[in-house]
Amino acid sequence: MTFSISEAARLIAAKKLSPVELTRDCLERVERLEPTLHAFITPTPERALEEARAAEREIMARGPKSPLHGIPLGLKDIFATAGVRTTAHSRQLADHVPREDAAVTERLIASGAVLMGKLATHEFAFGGPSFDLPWPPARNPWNPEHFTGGSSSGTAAAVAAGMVLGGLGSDTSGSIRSPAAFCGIAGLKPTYGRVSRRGAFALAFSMDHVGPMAWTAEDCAILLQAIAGHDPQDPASAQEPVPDYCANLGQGIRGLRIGVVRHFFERDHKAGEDTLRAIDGALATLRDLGASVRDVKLSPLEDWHAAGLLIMLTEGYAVHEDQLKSRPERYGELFRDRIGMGAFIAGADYVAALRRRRELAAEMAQAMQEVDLLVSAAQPGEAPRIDAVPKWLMFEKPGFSMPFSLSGFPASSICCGFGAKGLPLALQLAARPFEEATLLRAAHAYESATEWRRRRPPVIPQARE
Amino acid sequence: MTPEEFAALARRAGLVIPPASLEEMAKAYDRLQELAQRVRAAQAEPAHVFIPPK
Repeated sequence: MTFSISEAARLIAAKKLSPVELTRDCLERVERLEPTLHAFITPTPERALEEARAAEREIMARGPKSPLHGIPLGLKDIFATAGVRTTAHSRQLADHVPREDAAVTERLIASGAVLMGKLATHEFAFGGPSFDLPWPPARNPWNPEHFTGGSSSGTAAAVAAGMVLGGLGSDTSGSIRSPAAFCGIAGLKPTYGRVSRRGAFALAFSMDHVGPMAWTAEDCAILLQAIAGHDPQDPASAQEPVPDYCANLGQGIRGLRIGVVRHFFERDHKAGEDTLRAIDGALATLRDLGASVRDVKLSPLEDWHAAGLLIMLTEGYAVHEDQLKSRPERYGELFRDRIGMGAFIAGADYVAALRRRRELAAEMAQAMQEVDLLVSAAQPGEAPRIDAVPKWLMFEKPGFSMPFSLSGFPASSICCGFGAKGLPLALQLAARPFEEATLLRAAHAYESATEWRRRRPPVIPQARE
Repeated sequence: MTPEEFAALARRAGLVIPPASLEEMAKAYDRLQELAQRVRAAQAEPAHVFIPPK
């Protein structure tokens, strides 16, 4: 049996589901599926069972302290875990054992979650899918011959396969939303500054976000509740109050104004027919639920892509310059060659890209005065085969995630159907800064009105229909 | 840019590029220049600010 976090939390609170049994069930799935899916770098089964037993004792005595109490979760292997190896999926850090937890690790532990282990990523959240690293790339549970997306590849694969009920990813230019889309789960990149990055390996300081990945939008709301909030040790951390993300989740979307950035996926980077049909279907559902839908025009996708890629490569190169010069052989080819391009961006062009970001973010804020949410494709189609992902794809074609990575506006990917190959298709929803609650409410309404959350990957034989 | 020109540029930056990567990285460099051209007309200020600690 597979559960969403919200289902499991309700049963645990009612003492109808044992955290120990739930954790054992997930561990059994890890043991069975891991040889195929490679979602984990470092599983922590003993720790998981120990934490599950402690959670069970506490819940039986005093009830759950949060909806995550006793819930098995996983962490992308860029978040520091005290005493547990944290590799960033790189040979550079193969034996790195942090002394302290990342801010989000601390918060999940405080909420009573059960840590199932550290999950695969693309090397330093940027490089994959790589086949020349100490650990293989994660595989897509819907078809292991296909790409998971990245870089939060292991989190998406583990959630989709029911090895964990939820987890955390990071997103600099789509690293939560791309794997969420390809693996058919829900992923949320919160507003820049909403979640602390302390203890997370940096890719690009001014674009890095940390966020939840889970089976449903409701589960993302539960996870965000646990990790959101100010942290004085992250200089970009926002001082905005944290609302109750679950309070209005079920209130529907009547009257919500949705703007569709149609030119992104119909002209600037044309999505496949399956995706176009799925988005039209999703918009019809959102209309039926009471939202108004209209088209919105923004600058061409290539403009967002240009500014975003220049900033990301420059900042990423700054993080790795020393190691790229002194120990380049310790990186995989994809990461080394891609991030190495940051060496060739002139300082003046980096500043120009920052200036362009300010213009584009202002343009997005202006557009969102007229609408509450923006919609676009999350990906142009189903996941490609894992052996057919072009090394320079990110340079060649603008991605749909970049506008919201660049502006810092919150954005999520949710499943909106399946393509001809039986792999998931996805929709991207974005909201104004710090309005994750509105975004999650719309995503929850859509998921509740459609059947997609009832279909699990074929690797789970007991999928519920 | 030719792979030879790119190799020279990389040497000046202090990077040793494997020969097998030179041609594709030279192409990627050309693409980066196209992207840089797209942002060079940006006018917004201040693009980045420094806030002194209290």
